[in-house]
Order: sequence, then structure tokens, then C-alpha cells
Amino acid sequence: MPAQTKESKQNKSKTPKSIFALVLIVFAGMLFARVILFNLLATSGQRLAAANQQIETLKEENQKIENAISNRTSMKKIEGFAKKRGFVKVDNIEVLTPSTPIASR
Amino acid sequence: MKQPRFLILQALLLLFAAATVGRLFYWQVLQHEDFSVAAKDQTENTVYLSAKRGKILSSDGSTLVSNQNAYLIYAILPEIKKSKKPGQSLEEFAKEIAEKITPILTQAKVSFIENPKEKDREKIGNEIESYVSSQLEIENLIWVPLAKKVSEGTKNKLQSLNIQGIGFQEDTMRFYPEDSLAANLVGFVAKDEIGNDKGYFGLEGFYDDKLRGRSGQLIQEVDALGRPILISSPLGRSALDGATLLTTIDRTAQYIIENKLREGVKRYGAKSGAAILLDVKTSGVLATVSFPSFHPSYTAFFDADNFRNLGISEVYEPGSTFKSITMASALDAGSIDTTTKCPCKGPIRVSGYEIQTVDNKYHPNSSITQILQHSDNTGAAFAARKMGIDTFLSYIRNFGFGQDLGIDLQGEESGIVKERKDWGEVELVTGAFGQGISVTALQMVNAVAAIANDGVLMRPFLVKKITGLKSEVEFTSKKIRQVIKPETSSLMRELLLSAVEGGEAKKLIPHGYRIGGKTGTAQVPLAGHYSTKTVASFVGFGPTEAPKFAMIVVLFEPSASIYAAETSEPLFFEIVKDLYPYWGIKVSR
Repeated sequence: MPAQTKESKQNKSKTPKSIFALVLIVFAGMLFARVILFNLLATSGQRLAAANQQIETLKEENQKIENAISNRTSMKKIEGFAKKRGFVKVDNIEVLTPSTPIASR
Repeated sequence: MKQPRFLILQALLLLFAAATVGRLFYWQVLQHEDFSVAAKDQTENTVYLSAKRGKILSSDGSTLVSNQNAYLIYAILPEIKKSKKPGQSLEEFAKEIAEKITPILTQAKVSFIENPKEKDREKIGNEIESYVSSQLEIENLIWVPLAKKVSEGTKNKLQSLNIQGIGFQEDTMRFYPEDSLAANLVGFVAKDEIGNDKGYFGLEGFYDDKLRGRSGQLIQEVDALGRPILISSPLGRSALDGATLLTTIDRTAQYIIENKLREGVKRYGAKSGAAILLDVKTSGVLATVSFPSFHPSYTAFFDADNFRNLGISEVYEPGSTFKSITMASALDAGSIDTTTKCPCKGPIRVSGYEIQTVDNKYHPNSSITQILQHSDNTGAAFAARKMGIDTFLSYIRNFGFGQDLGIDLQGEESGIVKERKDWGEVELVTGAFGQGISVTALQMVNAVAAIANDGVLMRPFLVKKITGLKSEVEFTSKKIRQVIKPETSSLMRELLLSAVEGGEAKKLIPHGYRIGGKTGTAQVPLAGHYSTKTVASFVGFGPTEAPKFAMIVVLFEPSASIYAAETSEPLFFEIVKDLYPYWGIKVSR
């Protein structure tokens, strides 16, 4: 019995120590992770700023391309292009209307 | 007893502590606000986000108005003056710089004028040079603007001059791929009283709040190098770009009508002109042209009168085009029918006034068709008298005259229809042929569209969809009211077809287009009497068996001929000749 008591006492004194050690390790781990994460995030700022800048540049380029397309497909440009290529206006246009079917089921 | 050295040390320490406390008090209490601001400046970065103005598209999705990069050109005076030669006066130096910059800025502005003359170029050049010189001669400023809303190409040319102290600040400006096409319809963007962009006239004016969007502001924590720190989320709100307007405008029809009207105004020596093309079923505006016009990129060149869309903001007496309204009303009210014959033996006298026909020729026992074909004033007066004032006035109002139609454009006028108490026999008789009533071209064409559309009056509209970042709103056509019965509409379509094919201009117009319509040559009222100037108009629809469109062409004060049958009616048919093949409408041979 006394030997058992001694063992259980030893066990009891071990438990808080191991818990304390575990908490300490977790805490240290979290602290370390936090430092790493914050460092990572802090340096990501530069990448984010660069990405934002790239988005803006792409948007700008997109706008320029859209404007260039609109410009080239404008009525004035098309008319000018047609004239240059020798297109002429015709008066004798025949509009065809779809004929009614002879038979249908 | 303490040693004097110890006392001195104590006193010094006390003094140091007091100075420290004093300094801390100064920093933390007295200078608290300044330092808070300084600290914020170091740790926070405020980004102002400008919203892009929305686009305006034609019905097929083609761009009518978009945005492009622009630049504000400025000078930092202390910097620019460093290149001043020793002994050179400030005036001479400013002139030298202005002479370098002016040709580039002049070229950019002149490009907006159609066929610019040397005189225009010189005038603009002088204005720019004098402005730039005066800005550079200012002595007590550091920063002065030299030119606003300059295109990227112009900015690059200026940059290549390598003038020290000249800078470029990014901005945006409107881009018009179709040039000045539909300028009176879209309006323009200029500065308001506090220097912000604002839309004026047309769609830009009417939909300014939708197009401008909402600027934003983001406050973000930054590191010592100004890079954003991601631990905290940014505060503030992001910018919301302006909404895009999808209009009912048919780009090709707009282009055809714009070119034809411009030529027509020139050919017939008119002071101005307007044309509106409507979809008969919906009253969606397919084209609206007003001439003289302007270039929305550089409004400073043009008279403010050019900004008005005459089709919606110019009121005029419609003259004989109004006979279509009179006849439709009288037929619908049952006051006359197809068998009715007008005595029409000669001029009629009303309250001391004599009502004549335009050529003083009379056609006794005229049918309704003949009254319209001869554009007989006495015949129209006869029909109006059969109706009486109350019925006629009620139809006039039901057709939408004397009130806003509620089109989504800035500057719509309501026209003038007198109150009932001001109506007498003279008003009834003259109103029958469109005198004493003022209308807009839009009201006139919309009323005729109702005649062609089984008698249903629709609300004219221009924007069919507004697409924002967060929402999309679609607009459909709205019925205002049923004005005349479908049977009356059907009869009127035939009558107005006969009025065109057997009318005064039957030899001047091409046949086979099945257009129903009516000419109107109205004298311009001037200080209590009628002048010799006229407003010549033609309003019609086609093809009569299944109307697709209604259109009005108005020429204000034509000088080649004052008559609509010789001016606006042939012009109307010139337009129709181009529209039919474009729409694939068959022409009867």
C-alpha cells in the first residue's frame, strides 16, 4: 500500500509538469507560428501592391484595346474602308421573303 | 549635512526630470493632435479611388461613349525657371516655353473641328499661347496647370520636348469612337462648380448620377517603405464604377439620318433641322438627330445653342402635319366618317378672321382622303367644328400634346396647348391645321406612331438596360393610353398612305415604300403675326400594312423652298430609301 501511494504521488506530481510542458510547447509553437505567419503576411504586402498595380495596368491595356476596336469598327471608319476598297451603293436590292411550304405534315 | 556636489547633482536631476515632464506634456498634451496626424501619416496610407464613368452603348452593344486615359499638364514654376537663361526676362522665358508647347496643344484641339480653316488654327494657337505664357509668368505660385484632359498621344509629344519642370498627372476623359455621331443625344461631360466631372445635356445629363458612379477611399496600414501590411484589413469603401447604359439607338440608322439631315439642311438652306426615328410598337428611339451639332470632346468651340437636341427642346407650330391628329380624332369620335363630304366651297370666316387654303384653291364636296391629299385648311376646320372644342381638346391632350412625354433625356419641352378657358371658335378652327398650338418634334412623331400602332400611345424611351457592378435593371416599353380605336388606326393608315401617294409631292417622291404621312408648312409666329419664315416638316410611318417605324423630319426656316413638300418630304424619302434595304423591307415595284 505505501509503495502504491508513493507511485501515485509521483504520477500526480508528473501530470501537472507534463501539462505545463505541453502548454509551454504549444504556446511556444503558436508564438513561433505567429511570428512566421506575420512575417509572411508582412512581406506579402509588397506582392499585393505589385499585383494591384498589375491589375490596374491590365485594366488600362484592356480599355485601350476596347477603344481601338470601337474606333476601327465605327461607322465612319467602315464607310471609309468600303469606299477605299471600291464598294458602291446599289439601288436594285431584291428582298427575298421566305416562301410558304408547299406541304407539311 | 549633505555635500554641495550632491545637492547640485540632485538639483540637476530634478531639473532634467522637470524638463522631461515638460517636454512630454508638450508632446502628449499640447502637440497631441499634430503628432497623431504625423503618426497616422507614417503608418497609414489613404488611397483615393476614382470611379470610372459608365459607358453608353447603342442597341447592338457598340460603344457610343467610353473612357480613355487623359492627362493634366502642369508646370512646377521654381523647377521650370531653372532653365531660364541669365539676363532673360520672365516674360521672354514664358513666351519661349509657350512657343514650344503651343503647336502640339493646338493640333490636339484643332483635330476636333471638321475641315478646320487656317483662321481657326491661328485663333486657337493664340489663345493657348497666351494662356500658357500667363500661367508661367505667375510669380507667387509653385504649381500651375497648363492644359487639362490632354490625350495620351499629345502627352507623349509634350514629354518628348524634355522641358524641365513640366509634369503630367493622370486623369480620364470621355472617348467617342463614333466621333460626333449622336452628340446631341449623348450630351457631354464638363466640370461642375467645384471642379468635378458632370454630365450635361442628353443622356450624360439625364443619367449623370448613374454614369458617374461613386468614388472610394481606402485606409491601409503600411510598413516603413509604404507597402501595405496585410494583418489588418483596410478601412473605408471601394470605388463603384458608373453604370453602363444600353440604349435603343440603332447605330446604322443614326448614321444614315445624321448624314442625310446634314446634307438636307445645307441643300435647302435651312437654319437648323431635326429628325427622330421611333419604333412604332414600343416608341423606343432608334435615332435622333439635331443639326447644327457639336463635338462632345471640345465643346468650347461651339455655340451653346448647338448643345440642344432640337427634336425634344424646340417647340414650333406643327402646321398641316397636325391635320393627321385632327382627322384621327374626328373619325374616332364619330364626328365624321369615310362617307362624309366637306362643302369646302371657299374661305371660311370665323370671328372676323378669314380661313383660306394655302394656294387659295377650293375643292367642293371633298372626301376625307381628298382633304388630306390637298392639305385643305377649310376641310380640317370643318372636321374640328364637327367635333367641338371639348372633344378636340381632349384628343389633343390624349395624344400627348402640351405635356412632357417623360423621355429619359435632359431638356424635354412640353409644348403649348392653351387651357380650355382660352379656347374659342378661332382656336378650334386654326388648331385643326396646327396653328395656335406648339409641339415638339418628339410629341408629333410619337402621336403619329400611336395612330400607326393601333391607337396605343407609348412612352418614348432611350435606355433599355442599365448595368451596374451590383445590379442590372431592364426597362420595357410603357403604354401611356389607348388614344383611338384600332379600327380608326387602321383607317388612318390607309388615309395617310393616300395623302402621300396622291399628295402635293407625289411626283417628287419615290413610290413603292408604302409610307403614310403628312407634310406641314407652318409660318413662324413673330410678335403677334406670322412671318414669311416657315418650319417645314414631314411626319410619317411605314410600311403601312405593318408599321415598323415612325419618323419626323423638321427643317427650320428653309430658304431654298419654304414648302415641306419640296424639302422635308423628299428628305424623309431619301432616308427611307436607305433604311428599307438595311432593314430588309421589301419595296413594291
